[in-house]
Amino acid sequence: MAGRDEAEFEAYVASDGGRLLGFALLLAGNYQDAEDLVQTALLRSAGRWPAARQNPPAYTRTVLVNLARDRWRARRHRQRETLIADAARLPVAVAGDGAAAVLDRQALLRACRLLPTAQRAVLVLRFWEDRSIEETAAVLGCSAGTVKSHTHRALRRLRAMLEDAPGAAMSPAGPALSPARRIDDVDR
Amino acid sequence: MLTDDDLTRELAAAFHDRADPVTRTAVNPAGIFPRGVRARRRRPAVRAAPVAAVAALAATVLAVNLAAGPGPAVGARPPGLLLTAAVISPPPAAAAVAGMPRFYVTMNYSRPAAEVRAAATGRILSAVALPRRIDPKLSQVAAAGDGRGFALALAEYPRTRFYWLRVSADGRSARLTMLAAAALPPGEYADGIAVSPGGSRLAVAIQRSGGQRGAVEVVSLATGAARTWTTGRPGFPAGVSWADRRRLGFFWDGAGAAQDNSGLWELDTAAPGHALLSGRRVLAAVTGGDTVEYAQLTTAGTAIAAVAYNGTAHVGRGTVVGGVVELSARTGRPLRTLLAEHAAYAEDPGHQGWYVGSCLLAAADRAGDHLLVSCDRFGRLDRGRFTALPGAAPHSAIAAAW
Repeated sequence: MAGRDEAEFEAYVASDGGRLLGFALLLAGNYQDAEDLVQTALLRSAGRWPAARQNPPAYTRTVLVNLARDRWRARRHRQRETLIADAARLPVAVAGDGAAAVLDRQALLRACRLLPTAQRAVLVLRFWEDRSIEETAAVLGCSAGTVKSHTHRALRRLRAMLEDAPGAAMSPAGPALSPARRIDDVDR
Repeated sequence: MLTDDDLTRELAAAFHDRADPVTRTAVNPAGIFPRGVRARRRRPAVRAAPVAAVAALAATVLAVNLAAGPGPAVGARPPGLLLTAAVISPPPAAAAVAGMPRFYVTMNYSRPAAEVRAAATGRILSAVALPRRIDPKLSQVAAAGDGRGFALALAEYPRTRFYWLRVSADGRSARLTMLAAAALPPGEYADGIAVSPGGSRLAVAIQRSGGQRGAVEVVSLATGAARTWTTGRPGFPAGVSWADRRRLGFFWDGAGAAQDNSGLWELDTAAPGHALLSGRRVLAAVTGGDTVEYAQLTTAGTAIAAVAYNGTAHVGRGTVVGGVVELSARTGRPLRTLLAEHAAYAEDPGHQGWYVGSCLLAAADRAGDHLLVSCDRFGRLDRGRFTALPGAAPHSAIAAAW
Protein backbone atom coordinates (compact mmCIF):
# COMPACT_ATOMS: atom_id res chain seq x y z
CA MET A 1 0.00 0.00 0.00
CA ALA A 2 1.49 3.34 -1.04
CA GLY A 3 1.79 6.26 1.37
CA ARG A 4 -1.26 8.10 0.08
CA ASP A 5 -3.35 4.97 0.07
CA GLU A 6 -2.22 4.14 3.55
CA ALA A 7 -3.21 7.57 4.81
CA GLU A 8 -6.57 7.20 3.13
CA PHE A 9 -7.03 3.77 4.62
CA GLU A 10 -6.12 4.90 8.11
CA ALA A 11 -8.47 7.87 7.81
CA TYR A 12 -11.24 5.47 6.90
CA VAL A 13 -10.42 3.23 9.88
CA ALA A 14 -10.45 6.24 12.17
CA SER A 15 -13.84 7.33 10.91
CA ASP A 16 -15.63 4.02 10.56
CA GLY A 17 -13.64 1.57 12.69
CA GLY A 18 -15.91 1.96 15.68
CA ARG A 19 -19.06 1.37 13.69
CA LEU A 20 -17.42 -1.60 12.03
CA LEU A 21 -16.55 -3.03 15.42
CA GLY A 22 -20.14 -2.58 16.55
CA PHE A 23 -21.35 -4.31 13.41
CA ALA A 24 -18.95 -7.18 14.06
CA LEU A 25 -20.01 -7.38 17.69
CA LEU A 26 -23.65 -7.84 16.73
CA LEU A 27 -22.66 -10.37 14.13
CA ALA A 28 -20.23 -12.38 16.24
CA GLY A 29 -21.82 -11.93 19.65
CA ASN A 30 -18.72 -11.32 21.69
CA TYR A 31 -16.06 -8.66 21.77
CA GLN A 32 -13.15 -11.01 21.29
CA ASP A 33 -14.40 -12.50 18.05
CA ALA A 34 -15.61 -9.09 16.88
CA GLU A 35 -12.15 -7.57 17.25
CA ASP A 36 -10.64 -10.50 15.43
CA LEU A 37 -13.17 -10.19 12.60
CA VAL A 38 -12.63 -6.45 12.24
CA GLN A 39 -8.88 -6.74 12.12
CA THR A 40 -8.96 -9.45 9.50
CA ALA A 41 -11.57 -7.58 7.45
CA LEU A 42 -9.49 -4.42 7.56
CA LEU A 43 -6.32 -6.26 6.62
CA ARG A 44 -8.02 -7.80 3.63
CA SER A 45 -9.54 -4.48 2.64
CA ALA A 46 -6.16 -2.80 2.92
CA GLY A 47 -4.69 -5.41 0.62
CA ARG A 48 -7.35 -4.65 -1.98
CA TRP A 49 -7.62 -0.94 -1.37
CA PRO A 50 -7.96 0.06 -5.04
CA ALA A 51 -11.23 -1.84 -5.06
CA ALA A 52 -12.23 -1.11 -1.48
CA ARG A 53 -11.72 2.66 -1.72
CA GLN A 54 -14.78 3.03 -3.98
CA ASN A 55 -16.98 2.40 -0.95
CA PRO A 56 -14.91 1.32 2.05
CA PRO A 57 -17.80 0.89 4.54
CA ALA A 58 -19.67 -1.40 2.17
CA TYR A 59 -16.54 -3.26 1.12
CA THR A 60 -15.33 -3.95 4.65
CA ARG A 61 -18.78 -5.07 5.76
CA THR A 62 -19.01 -7.45 2.83
CA VAL A 63 -15.64 -8.93 3.76
CA LEU A 64 -16.65 -9.10 7.40
CA VAL A 65 -19.87 -10.99 6.70
CA ASN A 66 -17.95 -13.48 4.58
CA LEU A 67 -15.39 -13.87 7.34
CA ALA A 68 -18.15 -14.48 9.86
CA ARG A 69 -19.30 -17.38 7.71
CA ASP A 70 -15.74 -18.67 7.49
CA ARG A 71 -15.35 -18.43 11.22
CA TRP A 72 -18.32 -20.66 11.74
CA ARG A 73 -16.65 -23.18 9.52
CA ALA A 74 -13.65 -23.14 11.80
CA ARG A 75 -15.67 -23.27 15.00
CA ARG A 76 -14.02 -26.33 16.47
CA HIS A 77 -10.75 -24.52 16.44
CA ARG A 78 -11.97 -21.53 18.31
CA GLN A 79 -12.62 -21.35 21.95
CA ARG A 80 -15.88 -20.30 23.42
CA GLU A 81 -16.02 -17.61 26.02
CA THR A 82 -19.26 -17.11 27.84
CA LEU A 83 -20.15 -14.31 30.18
CA ILE A 84 -22.16 -15.56 33.09
CA ALA A 85 -24.36 -13.03 34.76
CA ASP A 86 -24.77 -13.37 38.48
CA ALA A 87 -28.25 -14.84 38.77
CA ALA A 88 -28.77 -13.34 42.19
CA ARG A 89 -28.29 -9.82 40.84
CA LEU A 90 -30.50 -10.08 37.77
CA PRO A 91 -33.91 -8.46 38.09
CA VAL A 92 -36.94 -10.65 37.76
CA ALA A 93 -38.77 -10.00 34.50
CA VAL A 94 -42.15 -8.39 34.92
CA ALA A 95 -44.17 -7.39 31.87
CA GLY A 96 -44.04 -3.70 31.22
CA ASP A 97 -41.35 -2.65 33.68
CA GLY A 98 -37.81 -1.54 32.99
CA ALA A 99 -36.22 -4.78 34.06
CA ALA A 100 -38.38 -6.66 31.62
CA ALA A 101 -37.24 -4.41 28.80
CA VAL A 102 -33.61 -5.13 29.59
CA LEU A 103 -34.26 -8.83 29.69
CA ASP A 104 -36.31 -8.66 26.49
CA ARG A 105 -33.34 -7.23 24.71
CA GLN A 106 -30.97 -9.84 26.08
CA ALA A 107 -33.37 -12.51 24.92
CA LEU A 108 -33.60 -10.86 21.51
CA LEU A 109 -29.83 -10.77 21.15
CA ARG A 110 -29.58 -14.41 22.17
CA ALA A 111 -32.24 -15.33 19.67
CA CYS A 112 -30.42 -13.37 16.95
CA ARG A 113 -27.34 -15.48 17.55
CA LEU A 114 -29.31 -18.53 16.45
CA LEU A 115 -30.12 -17.04 13.05
CA PRO A 116 -28.03 -17.85 9.97
CA THR A 117 -25.23 -15.33 9.42
CA ALA A 118 -26.83 -13.77 6.34
CA GLN A 119 -30.14 -13.16 8.11
CA ARG A 120 -28.37 -11.73 11.14
CA ALA A 121 -26.33 -9.45 8.91
CA VAL A 122 -29.47 -8.17 7.21
CA LEU A 123 -31.07 -7.34 10.55
CA VAL A 124 -27.98 -5.54 11.81
CA LEU A 125 -27.53 -3.55 8.62
CA ARG A 126 -31.18 -2.53 8.47
CA PHE A 127 -32.07 -1.97 12.10
CA TRP A 128 -28.79 -0.91 13.68
CA GLU A 129 -27.11 0.83 10.77
CA ASP A 130 -30.46 2.06 9.41
CA ARG A 131 -29.52 1.11 5.87
CA SER A 132 -32.17 0.92 3.19
CA ILE A 133 -33.06 -2.34 1.52
CA GLU A 134 -31.04 -1.30 -1.54
CA GLU A 135 -27.99 -0.35 0.53
CA THR A 136 -28.19 -3.60 2.45
CA ALA A 137 -28.40 -5.52 -0.81
CA ALA A 138 -25.34 -3.71 -2.12
CA VAL A 139 -23.32 -4.53 1.01
CA LEU A 140 -24.27 -8.19 0.98
CA GLY A 141 -23.97 -8.58 -2.77
CA CYS A 142 -27.51 -9.84 -3.21
CA SER A 143 -30.79 -8.57 -4.62
CA ALA A 144 -33.28 -6.34 -2.84
CA GLY A 145 -35.71 -9.24 -2.96
CA THR A 146 -33.26 -11.43 -1.09
CA VAL A 147 -32.89 -8.77 1.59
CA LYS A 148 -36.66 -8.62 1.95
CA SER A 149 -37.00 -12.38 2.21
CA HIS A 150 -34.09 -12.60 4.70
CA THR A 151 -35.75 -9.91 6.80
CA HIS A 152 -39.12 -11.59 6.69
CA ARG A 153 -37.72 -15.01 7.58
CA ALA A 154 -35.48 -13.66 10.31
CA LEU A 155 -38.33 -11.77 11.98
CA ARG A 156 -40.59 -14.78 11.70
CA ARG A 157 -37.97 -17.00 13.32
CA LEU A 158 -37.25 -14.48 16.03
CA ARG A 159 -40.92 -14.17 16.84
CA ALA A 160 -41.28 -17.94 17.02
CA MET A 161 -38.23 -18.27 19.26
CA LEU A 162 -39.40 -15.56 21.60
CA GLU A 163 -42.94 -16.85 21.81
CA ASP A 164 -41.68 -20.36 22.46
CA ALA A 165 -39.31 -19.23 25.20
CA PRO A 166 -40.07 -20.55 28.67
CA GLY A 167 -42.06 -18.07 30.69
CA ALA A 168 -42.75 -15.81 27.73
CA ALA A 169 -45.53 -13.33 28.41
CA MET A 170 -46.53 -11.10 25.55
CA SER A 171 -47.11 -7.41 26.00
CA PRO A 172 -47.84 -4.66 23.49
CA ALA A 173 -44.26 -3.51 23.81
CA GLY A 174 -42.93 -6.97 23.09
CA PRO A 175 -42.41 -10.22 24.90
CA ALA A 176 -41.50 -10.05 28.55
CA LEU A 177 -39.33 -13.03 29.15
CA SER A 178 -38.17 -14.72 32.25
CA PRO A 179 -34.67 -15.66 31.18
CA ALA A 180 -34.50 -19.38 30.76
CA ARG A 181 -30.77 -19.12 31.15
CA ARG A 182 -28.81 -16.38 32.83
CA ILE A 183 -26.14 -16.43 30.24
CA ASP A 184 -25.44 -13.85 27.60
CA ASP A 185 -23.45 -14.19 24.44
CA VAL A 186 -23.49 -17.89 23.89
CA ASP A 187 -21.06 -18.32 21.05
CA ARG A 188 -22.92 -20.77 18.89
CA MET B 1 -49.50 -11.01 18.64
CA LEU B 2 -46.18 -9.27 18.30
CA THR B 3 -46.15 -7.13 15.15
CA ASP B 4 -43.15 -6.66 12.89
CA ASP B 5 -42.99 -3.04 13.97
CA ASP B 6 -42.89 -4.05 17.65
CA LEU B 7 -40.18 -6.57 16.96
CA THR B 8 -37.98 -4.34 14.82
CA ARG B 9 -38.29 -1.51 17.34
CA GLU B 10 -37.16 -3.78 20.18
CA LEU B 11 -34.49 -5.27 17.98
CA ALA B 12 -33.08 -1.87 17.09
CA ALA B 13 -33.07 -0.92 20.76
CA ALA B 14 -31.29 -4.15 21.68
CA PHE B 15 -28.68 -3.58 18.97
CA HIS B 16 -28.09 -0.01 20.12
CA ASP B 17 -27.82 -1.06 23.76
CA ARG B 18 -25.25 -3.68 22.86
CA ALA B 19 -23.15 -2.08 20.17
CA ASP B 20 -23.30 1.69 20.58
CA PRO B 21 -20.94 1.81 23.58
CA VAL B 22 -18.37 -0.11 21.59
CA THR B 23 -18.46 2.31 18.68
CA ARG B 24 -17.54 5.17 20.99
CA THR B 25 -14.78 3.63 22.99
CA ALA B 26 -13.23 0.52 21.58
CA VAL B 27 -11.29 1.37 18.44
CA ASN B 28 -7.92 2.98 18.39
CA PRO B 29 -6.73 3.31 14.79
CA ALA B 30 -3.29 4.28 15.97
CA GLY B 31 -2.99 0.99 17.77
CA ILE B 32 -3.80 -2.49 16.67
CA PHE B 33 -5.03 -1.83 13.15
CA PRO B 34 -1.96 -0.05 11.79
CA ARG B 35 0.17 -2.76 13.39
CA GLY B 36 -1.75 -5.25 11.36
CA VAL B 37 -1.25 -3.27 8.17
CA ARG B 38 2.48 -3.04 8.77
CA ALA B 39 2.57 -6.75 9.41
CA ARG B 40 0.76 -7.33 6.15
CA ARG B 41 3.42 -5.43 4.29
CA ARG B 42 6.03 -7.73 5.72
CA ARG B 43 4.09 -10.91 5.23
CA PRO B 44 1.40 -11.46 2.65
CA ALA B 45 -0.46 -14.09 4.72
CA VAL B 46 -1.01 -12.13 7.91
CA ARG B 47 -2.66 -13.71 10.91
CA ALA B 48 -0.51 -12.34 13.68
CA ALA B 49 -2.57 -9.31 14.59
CA PRO B 50 -5.85 -11.10 15.33
CA VAL B 51 -4.05 -13.74 17.34
CA ALA B 52 -2.25 -11.04 19.25
CA ALA B 53 -5.55 -9.37 20.03
CA VAL B 54 -6.96 -12.62 21.36
CA ALA B 55 -3.85 -13.08 23.42
CA ALA B 56 -4.16 -9.58 24.83
CA LEU B 57 -7.69 -10.21 25.99
CA ALA B 58 -6.72 -13.56 27.44
CA ALA B 59 -3.89 -11.85 29.29
CA THR B 60 -6.42 -9.43 30.78
CA VAL B 61 -8.56 -12.32 31.88
CA LEU B 62 -5.60 -14.03 33.44
CA ALA B 63 -4.47 -10.91 35.18
CA VAL B 64 -7.68 -10.66 37.15
CA ASN B 65 -8.24 -14.34 37.66
CA LEU B 66 -7.30 -14.33 41.29
CA ALA B 67 -8.64 -17.75 42.03
CA ALA B 68 -7.04 -19.91 39.43
CA GLY B 69 -3.59 -18.41 39.06
CA PRO B 70 -1.72 -18.15 35.81
CA GLY B 71 -2.43 -21.57 34.37
CA PRO B 72 -4.83 -24.48 34.35
CA ALA B 73 -5.40 -25.67 37.87
CA VAL B 74 -6.89 -28.67 39.57
CA GLY B 75 -9.59 -27.61 41.97
CA ALA B 76 -12.97 -28.08 43.57
CA ARG B 77 -15.87 -30.08 42.23
CA PRO B 78 -17.53 -28.45 39.24
CA PRO B 79 -21.24 -27.76 39.12
CA GLY B 80 -22.23 -29.73 36.03
CA LEU B 81 -22.91 -33.40 35.42
CA LEU B 82 -20.01 -34.46 33.26
CA LEU B 83 -17.58 -32.44 35.26
CA THR B 84 -18.58 -34.16 38.49
CA ALA B 85 -16.16 -36.92 37.60
CA ALA B 86 -13.31 -36.99 40.06
CA VAL B 87 -10.57 -34.48 39.41
CA ILE B 88 -7.50 -36.63 39.36
CA SER B 89 -4.21 -36.10 41.07
CA PRO B 90 -1.66 -36.32 38.31
CA PRO B 91 1.09 -38.92 38.56
CA PRO B 92 4.73 -37.93 38.99
CA ALA B 93 6.22 -36.31 35.92
CA ALA B 94 8.30 -39.31 34.87
CA ALA B 95 5.29 -41.60 34.96
CA ALA B 96 3.04 -39.06 33.27
CA VAL B 97 5.23 -38.64 30.21
CA ALA B 98 5.92 -42.33 29.64
CA GLY B 99 5.17 -43.10 26.00
CA MET B 100 4.80 -39.45 25.05
CA PRO B 101 5.31 -38.68 21.34
CA ARG B 102 8.65 -37.02 20.61
CA PHE B 103 7.34 -34.31 18.32
CA TYR B 104 4.26 -32.23 17.77
CA VAL B 105 3.41 -30.23 14.67
CA THR B 106 1.60 -26.89 14.74
CA MET B 107 0.27 -24.70 11.98
CA ASN B 108 1.71 -21.23 12.28
CA TYR B 109 -1.14 -18.70 12.09
CA SER B 110 1.24 -15.88 11.21
CA ARG B 111 2.68 -17.38 8.10
CA PRO B 112 2.16 -20.40 5.88
CA ALA B 113 4.41 -22.84 7.71
CA ALA B 114 4.18 -26.05 9.69
CA GLU B 115 6.49 -26.21 12.67
CA VAL B 116 7.92 -29.41 14.08
CA ARG B 117 8.52 -28.97 17.80
CA ALA B 118 10.09 -31.10 20.49
CA ALA B 119 7.32 -32.44 22.72
CA ALA B 120 9.44 -32.13 25.85
CA THR B 121 10.26 -28.44 25.50
CA GLY B 122 8.25 -27.05 22.61
CA ARG B 123 11.45 -25.94 20.90
CA ILE B 124 11.14 -25.61 17.11
CA LEU B 125 13.20 -28.32 15.45
CA SER B 126 12.25 -27.54 11.88
CA ALA B 127 9.80 -25.41 9.93
CA VAL B 128 8.32 -26.43 6.62
CA ALA B 129 7.08 -23.83 4.17
CA LEU B 130 3.55 -24.44 2.98
CA PRO B 131 1.90 -23.12 -0.20
CA ARG B 132 1.70 -19.34 0.05
CA ARG B 133 -2.01 -19.02 -0.62
CA ILE B 134 -3.21 -21.26 2.19
CA ASP B 135 -5.34 -20.00 5.06
CA PRO B 136 -3.78 -21.54 8.19
CA LYS B 137 -6.91 -20.94 10.25
CA LEU B 138 -8.92 -23.17 7.95
CA SER B 139 -6.22 -25.85 7.65
CA GLN B 140 -5.88 -29.06 9.64
CA VAL B 141 -3.15 -31.42 10.75
CA ALA B 142 -3.32 -34.99 12.06
CA ALA B 143 -0.67 -37.45 13.20
CA ALA B 144 -0.20 -40.88 11.66
CA GLY B 145 0.60 -42.32 15.08
CA ASP B 146 4.12 -43.46 14.26
CA GLY B 147 5.60 -40.22 15.57
CA ARG B 148 6.94 -39.11 12.21
CA GLY B 149 4.10 -38.94 9.70
CA PHE B 150 1.51 -36.16 9.62
CA ALA B 151 -1.39 -35.51 7.27
CA LEU B 152 -2.29 -31.93 6.40
CA ALA B 153 -5.46 -30.50 4.89
CA LEU B 154 -4.52 -27.09 3.54
CA ALA B 155 -7.21 -24.61 2.57
CA GLU B 156 -5.88 -23.11 -0.65
CA TYR B 157 -8.76 -20.94 -1.75
CA PRO B 158 -11.05 -22.11 -3.26
CA ARG B 159 -10.06 -25.73 -2.68
CA THR B 160 -8.68 -27.80 0.19
CA ARG B 161 -5.82 -30.11 -0.75
CA PHE B 162 -4.20 -32.92 1.21
CA TYR B 163 -0.50 -33.35 1.95
CA TRP B 164 1.81 -35.63 3.88
CA LEU B 165 4.59 -34.35 6.11
CA ARG B 166 7.35 -36.81 6.87
CA VAL B 167 9.62 -35.81 9.74
CA SER B 168 13.17 -37.13 10.07
CA ALA B 169 14.08 -39.26 13.09
CA ASP B 170 15.62 -36.31 14.91
CA GLY B 171 12.87 -33.92 13.86
CA ARG B 172 15.32 -31.48 12.28
CA SER B 173 14.05 -31.89 8.76
CA ALA B 174 10.72 -32.66 7.18
CA ARG B 175 9.44 -33.18 3.67
CA LEU B 176 6.05 -32.24 2.28
CA THR B 177 4.41 -34.26 -0.49
CA MET B 178 0.92 -34.23 -1.95
CA LEU B 179 -1.38 -37.10 -1.07
CA ALA B 180 -3.42 -39.15 -3.53
CA ALA B 181 -6.65 -37.86 -1.97
CA ALA B 182 -8.63 -35.62 -4.31
CA ALA B 183 -8.97 -31.96 -3.38
CA LEU B 184 -12.26 -30.89 -1.86
CA PRO B 185 -14.41 -28.92 -4.29
CA PRO B 186 -14.97 -25.18 -3.77
CA GLY B 187 -17.36 -24.51 -0.92
CA GLU B 188 -16.27 -27.55 1.07
CA TYR B 189 -13.87 -27.35 3.97
CA ALA B 190 -12.10 -29.91 6.13
CA ASP B 191 -13.07 -29.39 9.76
CA GLY B 192 -10.92 -32.24 10.92
CA ILE B 193 -8.82 -35.09 9.64
CA ALA B 194 -7.56 -38.32 11.20
CA VAL B 195 -5.19 -41.00 9.98
CA SER B 196 -6.38 -44.54 10.66
CA PRO B 197 -4.34 -46.92 12.83
CA GLY B 198 -1.83 -48.45 10.44
CA GLY B 199 -1.79 -45.30 8.34
CA SER B 200 -3.65 -46.62 5.31
CA ARG B 201 -6.71 -44.35 5.36
CA LEU B 202 -7.51 -40.72 5.99
CA ALA B 203 -10.85 -39.68 7.47
CA VAL B 204 -12.03 -36.18 6.64
CA ALA B 205 -14.82 -34.23 8.36
CA ILE B 206 -16.31 -32.07 5.61
CA GLN B 207 -18.38 -28.95 6.02
CA ARG B 208 -20.61 -27.73 3.21
CA SER B 209 -22.95 -24.81 2.63
CA GLY B 210 -21.53 -22.69 5.40
CA GLY B 211 -22.12 -25.33 8.04
CA GLN B 212 -25.64 -26.27 7.03
CA ARG B 213 -24.52 -29.58 5.60
CA GLY B 214 -21.72 -32.01 6.32
CA ALA B 215 -20.19 -35.32 5.39
CA VAL B 216 -17.48 -37.71 6.44
CA GLU B 217 -15.15 -39.13 3.83
CA VAL B 218 -12.65 -41.93 4.24
CA VAL B 219 -9.92 -41.98 1.61
CA SER B 220 -7.43 -44.72 0.83
CA LEU B 221 -4.00 -43.13 0.94
CA ALA B 222 -2.70 -45.77 -1.48
CA THR B 223 -5.28 -45.35 -4.24
CA GLY B 224 -7.22 -42.20 -3.46
CA ALA B 225 -10.47 -44.18 -3.53
CA ALA B 226 -13.01 -42.51 -1.28
CA ARG B 227 -16.20 -43.50 0.48
CA THR B 228 -18.57 -40.83 1.75
CA TRP B 229 -21.26 -40.75 4.44
CA THR B 230 -23.83 -37.95 4.44
CA THR B 231 -27.05 -36.95 6.10
CA GLY B 232 -30.00 -34.74 5.27
CA ARG B 233 -29.91 -33.22 8.74
CA PRO B 234 -28.48 -29.71 8.97
CA GLY B 235 -25.10 -29.51 10.64
CA PHE B 236 -21.58 -30.68 10.10
CA PRO B 237 -18.95 -32.97 11.62
CA ALA B 238 -16.50 -30.87 13.61
CA GLY B 239 -13.77 -33.49 13.76
CA VAL B 240 -12.94 -37.15 13.31
CA SER B 241 -11.07 -39.77 15.34
CA TRP B 242 -10.43 -43.50 15.02
CA ALA B 243 -11.31 -46.01 17.76
CA ASP B 244 -9.69 -48.82 15.76
CA ARG B 245 -9.17 -49.69 12.10
CA ARG B 246 -12.91 -49.94 11.57
CA ARG B 247 -14.76 -47.65 13.96
CA LEU B 248 -14.60 -43.93 13.37
CA GLY B 249 -15.72 -41.24 15.76
CA PHE B 250 -16.97 -37.86 14.62
CA PHE B 251 -18.31 -34.90 16.57
CA TRP B 252 -21.60 -33.81 15.03
CA ASP B 253 -22.47 -30.14 15.38
CA GLY B 254 -26.15 -30.03 14.53
CA ALA B 255 -27.77 -26.84 13.29
CA GLY B 256 -31.30 -25.58 13.82
CA ALA B 257 -33.74 -28.23 14.94
CA ALA B 258 -31.05 -30.89 14.53
CA GLN B 259 -29.04 -29.53 17.45
CA ASP B 260 -30.47 -32.32 19.57
CA ASN B 261 -28.33 -34.74 17.57
CA SER B 262 -25.11 -32.97 18.45
CA GLY B 263 -22.40 -34.95 20.14
CA LEU B 264 -19.82 -37.64 19.61
CA TRP B 265 -20.97 -40.34 17.21
CA GLU B 266 -19.43 -43.65 16.21
CA LEU B 267 -19.53 -44.87 12.63
CA ASP B 268 -18.76 -48.42 11.50
CA THR B 269 -16.83 -47.84 8.29
CA ALA B 270 -17.06 -51.52 7.31
CA ALA B 271 -20.85 -51.62 7.51
CA PRO B 272 -22.96 -51.09 4.38
CA GLY B 273 -24.74 -47.82 3.70
CA HIS B 274 -23.90 -44.16 3.53
CA ALA B 275 -26.02 -42.67 6.30
CA LEU B 276 -23.79 -40.60 8.51
CA LEU B 277 -26.01 -40.59 11.59
CA SER B 278 -26.85 -44.28 11.38
CA GLY B 279 -24.40 -45.34 14.06
CA ARG B 280 -24.34 -44.91 17.79
CA ARG B 281 -24.10 -41.63 19.65
CA VAL B 282 -21.49 -42.11 22.31
CA LEU B 283 -21.95 -38.78 24.05
CA ALA B 284 -24.59 -36.06 23.78
CA ALA B 285 -23.32 -32.52 23.39
CA VAL B 286 -25.45 -31.24 26.23
CA THR B 287 -25.70 -33.07 29.52
CA GLY B 288 -27.31 -31.17 32.34
CA GLY B 289 -25.45 -27.92 32.71
CA ASP B 290 -22.41 -29.12 30.82
CA THR B 291 -21.77 -28.64 27.14
CA VAL B 292 -19.31 -30.81 25.30
CA GLU B 293 -17.40 -28.48 23.02
CA TYR B 294 -15.61 -31.30 21.30
CA ALA B 295 -14.85 -34.95 21.91
CA GLN B 296 -13.00 -37.74 20.23
CA LEU B 297 -12.56 -41.49 20.56
CA THR B 298 -9.34 -43.22 21.54
CA THR B 299 -8.10 -46.72 20.85
CA ALA B 300 -8.24 -47.43 24.59
CA GLY B 301 -12.03 -47.59 24.63
CA THR B 302 -12.40 -44.11 26.03
CA ALA B 303 -13.49 -40.73 24.79
CA ILE B 304 -11.76 -37.49 25.62
CA ALA B 305 -14.00 -34.43 25.82
CA ALA B 306 -13.51 -30.71 26.24
CA VAL B 307 -16.39 -29.66 28.46
CA ALA B 308 -17.62 -26.24 29.57
CA TYR B 309 -20.22 -25.40 32.16
CA ASN B 310 -23.23 -23.83 30.51
CA GLY B 311 -25.85 -23.98 33.23
CA THR B 312 -27.61 -21.44 35.36
CA ALA B 313 -26.06 -21.80 38.79
CA HIS B 314 -24.09 -18.97 40.35
CA VAL B 315 -20.51 -18.87 39.17
CA GLY B 316 -17.81 -16.96 40.94
CA ARG B 317 -14.31 -17.08 42.26
CA GLY B 318 -13.00 -20.61 42.47
CA THR B 319 -15.86 -22.26 40.59
CA VAL B 320 -14.71 -25.00 38.28
CA VAL B 321 -16.44 -24.26 35.00
CA GLY B 322 -14.75 -26.44 32.46
CA GLY B 323 -12.08 -28.92 31.70
CA VAL B 324 -10.97 -32.00 29.91
CA VAL B 325 -12.81 -35.17 30.85
CA GLU B 326 -12.15 -38.83 30.10
CA LEU B 327 -15.26 -40.92 29.54
CA SER B 328 -16.13 -44.50 28.77
CA ALA B 329 -16.77 -44.85 25.04
CA ARG B 330 -19.12 -47.73 25.76
CA THR B 331 -21.40 -46.06 28.27
CA GLY B 332 -20.61 -42.38 27.86
CA ARG B 333 -20.13 -42.09 31.61
CA PRO B 334 -17.39 -39.79 32.88
CA LEU B 335 -14.40 -41.57 34.37
CA ARG B 336 -12.21 -38.72 35.55
CA THR B 337 -11.54 -35.04 35.00
CA LEU B 338 -8.03 -34.69 33.67
CA LEU B 339 -7.92 -30.90 33.87
CA ALA B 340 -10.22 -28.43 35.58
CA GLU B 341 -10.61 -24.74 34.76
CA HIS B 342 -11.91 -21.99 37.04
CA ALA B 343 -14.16 -19.05 36.26
CA ALA B 344 -12.23 -15.89 35.44
CA TYR B 345 -13.29 -12.30 35.99
CA ALA B 346 -12.74 -9.95 33.05
CA GLU B 347 -13.26 -6.26 32.48
CA ASP B 348 -14.60 -6.67 28.96
CA PRO B 349 -15.95 -3.22 27.98
CA GLY B 350 -19.62 -3.14 28.80
CA HIS B 351 -19.62 -6.75 29.88
CA GLN B 352 -17.65 -7.07 33.06
CA GLY B 353 -18.25 -10.35 34.75
CA TRP B 354 -17.25 -13.92 35.30
CA TYR B 355 -16.33 -15.82 32.21
CA VAL B 356 -16.27 -19.44 31.25
CA GLY B 357 -13.41 -20.04 28.86
CA SER B 358 -13.63 -23.41 27.26
CA CYS B 359 -10.61 -25.60 26.60
CA LEU B 360 -9.68 -26.57 23.10
CA LEU B 361 -8.70 -30.18 22.61
CA ALA B 362 -6.16 -29.81 19.84
CA ALA B 363 -4.83 -33.34 19.63
CA ALA B 364 -4.65 -36.68 21.40
CA ASP B 365 -2.37 -39.62 20.92
CA ARG B 366 -4.04 -42.89 19.93
CA ALA B 367 -4.71 -44.07 23.50
CA GLY B 368 -5.65 -40.66 24.85
CA ASP B 369 -2.83 -40.62 27.40
CA HIS B 370 -1.13 -37.55 25.96
CA LEU B 371 -3.15 -34.54 24.85
CA LEU B 372 -2.40 -31.13 23.41
CA VAL B 373 -4.82 -28.61 24.88
CA SER B 374 -5.31 -24.86 24.78
CA CYS B 375 -6.92 -23.57 27.96
CA ASP B 376 -5.55 -20.72 30.02
CA ARG B 377 -2.35 -21.70 28.32
CA PHE B 378 -1.39 -24.04 25.52
CA GLY B 379 0.41 -27.18 26.56
CA ARG B 380 0.44 -30.92 26.86
CA LEU B 381 -1.69 -32.86 29.28
CA ASP B 382 0.00 -36.14 30.13
CA ARG B 383 -2.33 -38.40 32.12
CA GLY B 384 -3.69 -35.32 33.87
CA ARG B 385 -0.38 -33.53 34.35
CA PHE B 386 -0.28 -30.20 32.51
CA THR B 387 2.93 -28.71 31.11
CA ALA B 388 2.83 -25.37 29.29
CA LEU B 389 4.39 -25.34 25.84
CA PRO B 390 5.09 -22.66 23.25
CA GLY B 391 3.32 -22.69 19.93
CA ALA B 392 0.07 -20.89 20.68
CA ALA B 393 -1.04 -17.81 22.57
CA PRO B 394 -3.26 -18.30 25.63
CA HIS B 395 -6.88 -19.00 24.75
CA SER B 396 -6.08 -18.95 21.07
CA ALA B 397 -7.06 -21.30 18.33
CA ILE B 398 -4.48 -23.77 17.16
CA ALA B 399 -4.13 -26.68 14.78
CA ALA B 400 -1.71 -29.17 16.26
CA ALA B 401 -1.05 -32.90 16.19
CA TRP B 402 1.20 -35.59 17.62
